[in-house]
Amino acid sequence: MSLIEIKNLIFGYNPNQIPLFNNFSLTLPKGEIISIIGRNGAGKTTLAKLMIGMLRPQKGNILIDNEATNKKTIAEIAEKIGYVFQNPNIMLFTNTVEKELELSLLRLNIPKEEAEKRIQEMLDFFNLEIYRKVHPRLLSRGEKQKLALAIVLIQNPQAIILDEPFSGIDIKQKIQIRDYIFKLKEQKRLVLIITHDLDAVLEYSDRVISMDFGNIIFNGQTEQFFYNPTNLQKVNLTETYMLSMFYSLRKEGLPENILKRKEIISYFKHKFS
Amino acid sequence: MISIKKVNFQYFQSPNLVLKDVSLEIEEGEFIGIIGPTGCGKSTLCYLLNGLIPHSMKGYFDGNVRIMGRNTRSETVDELSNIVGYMLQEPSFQIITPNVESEIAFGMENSGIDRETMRERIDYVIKILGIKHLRKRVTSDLSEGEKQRVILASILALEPRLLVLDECSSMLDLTSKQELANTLRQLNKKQGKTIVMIEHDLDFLLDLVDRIILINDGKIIADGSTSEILTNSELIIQNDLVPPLLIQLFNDFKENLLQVEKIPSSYFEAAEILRGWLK
Repeated sequence: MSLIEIKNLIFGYNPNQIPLFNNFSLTLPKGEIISIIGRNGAGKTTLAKLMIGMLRPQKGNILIDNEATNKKTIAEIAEKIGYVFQNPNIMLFTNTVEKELELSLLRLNIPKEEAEKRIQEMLDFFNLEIYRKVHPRLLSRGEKQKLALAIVLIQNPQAIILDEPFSGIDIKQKIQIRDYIFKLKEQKRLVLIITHDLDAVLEYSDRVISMDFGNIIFNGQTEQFFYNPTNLQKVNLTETYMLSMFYSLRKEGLPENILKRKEIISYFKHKFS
Repeated sequence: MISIKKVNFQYFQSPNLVLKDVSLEIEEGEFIGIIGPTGCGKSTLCYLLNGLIPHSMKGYFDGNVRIMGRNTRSETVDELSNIVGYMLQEPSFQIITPNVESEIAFGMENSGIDRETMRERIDYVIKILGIKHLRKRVTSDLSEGEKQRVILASILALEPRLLVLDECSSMLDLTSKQELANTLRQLNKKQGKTIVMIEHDLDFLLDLVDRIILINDGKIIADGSTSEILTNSELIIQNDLVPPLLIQLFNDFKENLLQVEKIPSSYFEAAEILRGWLK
């Protein structure tokens, strides 16, 4: 079942140039974790902003649950797709962490008890309870990032787009966020991650979409993408240190299907036993 | 070059002390990584280095900070900016002018540098940071990663002796990140610039910095060479961090009863070990 369907999209920032997205189509199903990767300026964030209605297509259609979104308001689209901005500051308006979460539930007409329950869940999950009454501006970058995520997740959207969710946070929090992402997948939601963090892509996502100047260069299984180093080169991306080490060891006989830590461990375990 | 003595700091609105009895010495030419869990006081520590504390960030401040012998209490942030180039964690807080070229020139104009020198320096920083394609762009259209590189350019144009970088690579793709690593290495090794960088990506630090300072709960927990700190998984885990992926890999090898004589402290060393195993 497709949740988001983009049909023959045309969009560009500068009317005098060839549009960034020139007849662009893409279908995104439910229940998958999909990573969108590409260099700075490839159009990843622009694509996300088009999906949530912050930018509007110059031509073409974007359907969510088979409904066209061009007549819908941003608020209406937001009930279906949650978007966590790259810069958490622009998502914060009020003067306490708690009010920030309350505000995000306001539109949904949720009974007070349920709202309180959800707020508590979010504060607990992201370890933000101690900051309940603190001004969001006083939080560190990583804490703001978690709050921004909580603001979106508390609304239970069917699809969630995370724009660079792992920047400015430590690895422990990254694992917390990862666990939440897996939970969303179990609930058959769509998780779209825009990221530069290829370690995370390899570990978390089912599918990789690689982009370059508004074009999709690869759209397929994560393992398939990383199996062939040229897939990264095609979008001018460099492999992670770990992958680069694995690729270089292929010459010495390391099997080509080894891409992850646990795979190399079991390989050597077998080799030496 | 930097001497921090018994500093305590608490923001007026925050519930507790953010820095607790912090003392630290940094020599000229050092390349240092500051690590620690989110909210532990890393950024606050760096605000000490360019006078943002006590001049802009208000709070309870106790102790002394000297940068090249000058007490930050009696210098203004302006005066310190000639020595210290500071990159904030939030790129959008640090971009002031409407286009890239004027952004890079802005700091120099304020320092009264002549036009000819300004041109030369703009050309130079644009070249070493590989941002020629951004030169004529409007700053508000830049992506966060592009902004980070423009900010770094505007800082380098002032030729500071000390660079303080708060998460300067967080928005960069890997290619840009590795390019940045090369630039920083050159600035440190060839031009002798002192660099202090806050970084969450411990794998990135492994092959880059010489010394690591670990902070947790406002205190300096450990201070030592990169390999000494980063290969000490117990220490890293105790302080709510996760060891670099490379170190985790070799810890996992050990747990699976594979013979690891020494945990490697760089990817280069690691590849050598694995090459041996493959034979």
